[in-house]
Amino acid sequence: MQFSSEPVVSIQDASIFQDEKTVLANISFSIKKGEFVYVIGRTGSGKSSLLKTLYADLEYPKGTVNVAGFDIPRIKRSEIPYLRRKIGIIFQDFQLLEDRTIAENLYFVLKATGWKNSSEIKQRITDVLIQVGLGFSSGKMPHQLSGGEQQRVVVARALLNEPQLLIADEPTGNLDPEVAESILQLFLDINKSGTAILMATHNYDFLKRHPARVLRIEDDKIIDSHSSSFI
Amino acid sequence: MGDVTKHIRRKKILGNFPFVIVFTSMTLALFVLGVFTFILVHAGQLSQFLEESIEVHVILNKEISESQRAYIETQLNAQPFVLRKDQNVMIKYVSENDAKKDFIKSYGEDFMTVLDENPLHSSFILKLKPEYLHKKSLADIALKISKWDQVKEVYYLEDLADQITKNIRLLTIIFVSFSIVLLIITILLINNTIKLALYSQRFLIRSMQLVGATQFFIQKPFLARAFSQGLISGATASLLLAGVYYYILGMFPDFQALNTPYLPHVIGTLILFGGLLGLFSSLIVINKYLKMSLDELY
Repeated sequence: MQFSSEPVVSIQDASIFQDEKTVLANISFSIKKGEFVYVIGRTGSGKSSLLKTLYADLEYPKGTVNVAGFDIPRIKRSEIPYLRRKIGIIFQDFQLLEDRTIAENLYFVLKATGWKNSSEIKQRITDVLIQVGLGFSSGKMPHQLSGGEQQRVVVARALLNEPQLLIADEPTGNLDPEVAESILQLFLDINKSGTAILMATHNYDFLKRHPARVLRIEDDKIIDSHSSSFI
Repeated sequence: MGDVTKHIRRKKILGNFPFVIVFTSMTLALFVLGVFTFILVHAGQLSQFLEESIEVHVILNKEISESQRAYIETQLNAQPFVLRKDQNVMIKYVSENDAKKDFIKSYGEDFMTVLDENPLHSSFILKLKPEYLHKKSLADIALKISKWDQVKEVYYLEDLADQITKNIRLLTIIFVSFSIVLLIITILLINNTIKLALYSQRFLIRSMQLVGATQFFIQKPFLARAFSQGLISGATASLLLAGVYYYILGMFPDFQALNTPYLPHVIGTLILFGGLLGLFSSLIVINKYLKMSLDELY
């Protein structure tokens, strides 16, 4: 598969804030299409703030932050939904809706993002569920699925609008090592089909078994494994 | 377990918020506004109706001769202040006998069984042109006629005309202030109900925001509900208004003389206004709260 050289994420001399406090200062990195990138760092180091900034869920950053063609520091409120449709978000506080089935959870997302044709909607739901290995679970309620299966549905939900980039914050945090490994495998498969992945994790086993580029957050700076200063 | 499943399966529907409180207050506000509008658009007719019911009674002496009576009638006919309708001069002669009949009809007792002669006097009843229905001109007219030969006295309901004008003004002030207060209460109630609804549906809204739903998509169900609630409130207020109107007509048949062609207009306006009130107040509220992070709501 051929990828254009234009990056999905491009950050130059940017500072990121949360509650008016500087979390990361003067950071620079970019992510190409189809790239797999881990973000690591201690709890509270600013991983989540970085990821949230990328989908415009935090105060606007300073500097150059470009995501999927959107200029984040100058993005208009009305443009944010269209930015998010180009990104798949897998986040701790973004759980499945417990009051509806898996198919209804996915249907809800498609309706909310402007899908109208019901046969296209059905087809898309079937496609993503097959992609995450849950082809026969569409009628189940979230509580009827295991933790790993629920996480697969969350990934399926993020894939619905064929995003250029998947942003995942601790996607395997609550899962046992075997299930966590299978979820990581799912991310690797999705990545192979051309979607860039930015994953914050504490699971260093992943880094050993599936080496990829690593952004390490330390003292409000980012150390990139692609640059010479990474140890 | 079955119950739990049933409970869980009851889906939260976006834009759902409690109906009764907002409905009651909005209906009340619209009803008062409707009564006020109804009175205002018919105020001209109402005052005309009441003014036309002002009559000046010219009481004649007992010993008046037929020719004297005819002379007074001719004199009255010639007066500029007497109302003319369709070429007819609005003067009515009530003879002693007519007065007696009216009395017996009104009070149900025949005083002739006690008295030897009819104590009532014959009289002329005049209706006046509206421009003469002021305190001063009424007094002037009464004074002028009372000086005529064979006129015993002249009387009329003093101040009625002035009171009507004053009361309509007072009524307007009371109704407008009352409506404004009720409208503010309605808007505050809508504000609080929608705020609570947004809070209870914050996960749904948060999910929508994260997957890339537009602001309008999230607002739409709230606005649709507020609009339809407003329409229903408007319709209910209209029903109440029409009910009260026909009840009053039933109680006071005299009011039927009032021509009230604007009832359908007032009803249409009320329903539309109800819808718009719901729509715009909820639009303002939801815009305010969606700009906040939903965690900031509390």
